[in-house]
Amino acid sequence: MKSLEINLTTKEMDDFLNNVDFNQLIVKYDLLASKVTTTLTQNNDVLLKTNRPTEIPFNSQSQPSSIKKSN
Amino acid sequence: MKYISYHGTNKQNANKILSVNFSIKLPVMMNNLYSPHNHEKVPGSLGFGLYTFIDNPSLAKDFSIRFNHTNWTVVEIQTEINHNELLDLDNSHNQTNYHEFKNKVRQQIELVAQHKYQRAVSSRKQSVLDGITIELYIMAIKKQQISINAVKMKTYTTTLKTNWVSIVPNGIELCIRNINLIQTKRQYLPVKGD
Repeated sequence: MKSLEINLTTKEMDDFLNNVDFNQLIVKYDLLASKVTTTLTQNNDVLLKTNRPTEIPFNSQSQPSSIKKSN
Repeated sequence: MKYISYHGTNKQNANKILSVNFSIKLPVMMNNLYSPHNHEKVPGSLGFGLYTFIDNPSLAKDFSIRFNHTNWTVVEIQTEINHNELLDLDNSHNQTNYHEFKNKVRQQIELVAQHKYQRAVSSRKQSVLDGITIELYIMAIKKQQISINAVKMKTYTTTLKTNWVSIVPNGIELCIRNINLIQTKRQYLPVKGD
């Protein structure tokens, strides 16, 4: 059977990922985990500060210090 | 192409799926923000959607029994899916492209999962990483004006009969992301041997 073949180029991947707000992703998934769904709109700034010590930019050349692995 | 696939669940969820009000909730991309806020569930290994096994009611039943014991049931679903809306992750070209994407986003996704799943069972964590990554991958594909409405892949599913993980697939999973693909749905009544 014929399959759709995905051809995302490296540039297209980078362009897309550079526009993904991983801080928001984490905050929202954290909220799902704790079921405190109403807190997002009320205390967004607080959550960002307490749950995320640093921002997580997408950058293929570097990684945030908070997620460096020890090994 | 037409698919007949089977969703193993409990009787309460089956009633919801069979109802006319049934919907499949997906995350949305608004202002370049990935927004899973409408979901109470985390994505499965192939992302969000209705998980079914192609041509395998027996595996759907065994999967359901593992979680629902005697309250199991199986829903048979017939779909019509065009090849240009199906992400086939058994296609080696797509596997290579997906892994390139995954390698780019791996560290960020691991951090998301770390926050989200710090209390989760470690064996489930890997599939969660893929689930989140596939959601992002599908959104990236959408930038090419391609809407992925289903994801298909050969997988291994643990059941009470086979309570150990194998690298050899025992079924083909079809994750249905768009309710409009569904042509018919009905409760499946197992026959002898299922």
